[in-house]
Amino acid sequence: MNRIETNKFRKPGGWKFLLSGLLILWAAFPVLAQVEPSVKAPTAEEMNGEATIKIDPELYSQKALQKTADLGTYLAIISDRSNSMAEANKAVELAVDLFINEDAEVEVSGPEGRNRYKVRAYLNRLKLLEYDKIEISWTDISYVSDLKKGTDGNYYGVITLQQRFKGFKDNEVVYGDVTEKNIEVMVVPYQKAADGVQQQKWDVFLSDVGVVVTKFDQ
Amino acid sequence: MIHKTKYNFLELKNTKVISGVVLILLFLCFPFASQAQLYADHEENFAYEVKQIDEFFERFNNENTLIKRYLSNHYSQLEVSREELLKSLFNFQSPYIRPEEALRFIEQVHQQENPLRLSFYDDKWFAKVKASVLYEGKERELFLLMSVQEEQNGGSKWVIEEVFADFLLAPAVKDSTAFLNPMSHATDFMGLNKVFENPEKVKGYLSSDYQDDQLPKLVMELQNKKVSFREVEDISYHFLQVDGWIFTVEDFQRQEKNAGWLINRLMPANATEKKAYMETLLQPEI
Repeated sequence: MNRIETNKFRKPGGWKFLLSGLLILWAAFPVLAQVEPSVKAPTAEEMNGEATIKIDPELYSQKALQKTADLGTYLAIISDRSNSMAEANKAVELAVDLFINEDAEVEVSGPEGRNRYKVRAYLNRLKLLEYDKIEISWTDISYVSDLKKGTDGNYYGVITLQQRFKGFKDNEVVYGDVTEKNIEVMVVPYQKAADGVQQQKWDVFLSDVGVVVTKFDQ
Repeated sequence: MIHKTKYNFLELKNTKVISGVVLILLFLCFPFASQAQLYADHEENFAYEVKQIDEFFERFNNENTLIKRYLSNHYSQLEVSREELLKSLFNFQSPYIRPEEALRFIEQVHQQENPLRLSFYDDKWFAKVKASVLYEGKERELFLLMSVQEEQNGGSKWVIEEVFADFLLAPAVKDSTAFLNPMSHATDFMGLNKVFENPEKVKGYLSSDYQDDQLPKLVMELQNKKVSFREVEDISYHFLQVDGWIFTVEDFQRQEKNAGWLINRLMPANATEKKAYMETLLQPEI
């Protein structure tokens, strides 16, 4: 059985969150310039579902948590009214590229219960939020599961973490909560030709995002 | 899905042994309850919470899991044994668990000669999922029994083994005239048209051995686009692979360290009892 051991106790780069958060407050564009665009999901031709691949558990963990951190960064940019529509749209595209495809769904919870949106619809909804800006950060502790191989040859895992959300109006926090979320991740092996040689590669992509519970209002 | 039952272990029938066992359990959970500031820290509660069934497996098997590393990093003087990890996997507020049975279970699992480990790929554990669906436009409940199936390429997937829903049941026959009389053959079974004209009475025309297999019916209703999915309302996991025991794991979302996916029921069971358990597992009241 293909089982990949992972290091489950990872801090998702606390200083990177702080830096990103400060930059969001002062200027969004430099953040866009600093955050590296994600690699798009490989095409069907590039995927090699049957190949045996070695996935370094530390690297998998780092990449998965980095993509989660990037998502938080983009969400804040999208919903910041001080950014231009062009900047918000660019952040939407970069955020979509974090996901395996646009069929991935994001669950949100609200007073009426839970709803699920395809990722692009979810991101576009963020532009319509009532806040002037939002801050999204992830708490330090996250659970990263082992990877399990699916019948399609890709590997599946989950990250469980707590998301802190603050909504601002006129520079004041008008809403805050801590939500526990499950983010399904996929590790996709693929082959890439480089200098005429086929190389075995893999990358991590986000998939469905589910809400476990909203813990409390701040 | 969120359980709010509060039932104190100490309210169980008191014997000296049970009281002693309860005290031992509470004492061994001392690292989890010793400092008031820990309790108030939601991030620490998050570390303690059994967040996924995968994490449940890790703790059960005493792997290098998040809580052990967290405790090692924050309370280096603490060493968590497998026994303590196993105890932490019980819902302390469960009214269904006898402490003496819990300890016996832990002792059996943790035996030095051949400690037992659970595997995600074991074939005797199941997920029971309660889902809300729309059937012909109306909200209905659907129960699914799911298991992990391995494929030849080394991959695996969750599959649906059985389903139960009242809208998939063939209605009970109340009309004593709904049957094909013993001379039906004489008219070349022309009375068969009644079966098709009165589908609500179909059971009267079926063998007494007929078993209502609802999964094929669900498949047909799906293909006819009569059923659509709304959401999962509840999940419980049922473990039958430990010799002599059945236990169930459910999710308890609460602001405590004893939270997440925890053993809520534990019962001694032999092979016959396990078989009977499986036969009624999908009934809504379990």
